[in-house]
Amino acid sequence: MGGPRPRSESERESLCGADREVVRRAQEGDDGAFHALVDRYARRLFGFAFSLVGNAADAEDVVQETFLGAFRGLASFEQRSSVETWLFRIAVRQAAKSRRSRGRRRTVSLDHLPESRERAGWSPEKVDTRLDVRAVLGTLSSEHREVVVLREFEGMSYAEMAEVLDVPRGTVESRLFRAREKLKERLSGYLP
Amino acid sequence: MPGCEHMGEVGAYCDGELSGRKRARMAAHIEQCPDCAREVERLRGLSRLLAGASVPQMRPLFLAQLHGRVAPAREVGVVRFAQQLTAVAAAVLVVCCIWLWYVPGSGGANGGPTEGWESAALALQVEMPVDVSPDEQLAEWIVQDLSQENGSD
Ligand SMILES: [Zn+2]
Repeated sequence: MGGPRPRSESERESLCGADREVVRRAQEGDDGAFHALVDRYARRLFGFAFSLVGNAADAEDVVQETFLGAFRGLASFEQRSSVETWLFRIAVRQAAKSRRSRGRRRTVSLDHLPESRERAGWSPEKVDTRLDVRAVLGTLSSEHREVVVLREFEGMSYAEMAEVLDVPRGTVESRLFRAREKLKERLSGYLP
Repeated sequence: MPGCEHMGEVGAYCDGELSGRKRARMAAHIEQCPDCAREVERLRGLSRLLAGASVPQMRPLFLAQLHGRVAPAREVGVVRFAQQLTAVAAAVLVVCCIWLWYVPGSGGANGGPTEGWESAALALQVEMPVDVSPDEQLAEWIVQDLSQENGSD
């Protein structure tokens, strides 16, 4: 993933403080501050968007719309949530919009991949693991894919995911459980 | 789900989402329960598998484009003003060229010393439509109501 999330608590804390300062400056009209946010988050948001929409072109659109949306909402952002959560929250919605408007024709074939492969006598061992994991991820519903990507790739806590997805924590937990059940089933050939 | 009744909590345990006593109890249970121990292994295997699934790197050019496209409004305003200024300058030059071409004795029609003017006007005309994207984006912001997309913050 481009620009992985800092895992240690202290690293995150200092980044969070720096983000708040950058946003405060951007809100006060410091043009460079918003560009600093773009530099800091563009790669991560691209990786995140790619995992959700399944192709680079749409992922770029999602990233662009996310920052445009963030810039528009900058004045009313009260920093009740972290900047990271705020940006991912916008990105999730932009990705959903992208899937609805443009991604449909691209993801339809991906969505039906496991069934068609099974019918064609596909065996997991024969396929390159990394491609296969991506493809299987693409077979999940949007809701399941979102929780898996936020947890496994972005390392978010259940509370953070709940905030990003705007659902109760219990919903995050049950979605994650069901998504993992599906992944374990579809990737059983690779698992212990 | 077949197996131990606690297997549903293994995910939260692996994610570090069980706190205090619950976590300690689960750890002790996993020591004793082959079903849950196997589930821990499978979930860790799944995490490793997903971690190995690569995402293409973002194009460096896209980052540069992104900075241009999401530029703060003040910068967009400056760009637009520069474009308008360029357009006015180009129009003035074109009018001057036409005037020089038609006014007798000005030398324009005879290939006199106005070549620089002509090429400058042409160059300016060529430059005009370049980088209109910030305006397009600005128009998009105005047309498109993203207020709901921006969350409740
Ligand atoms: Zn058990």
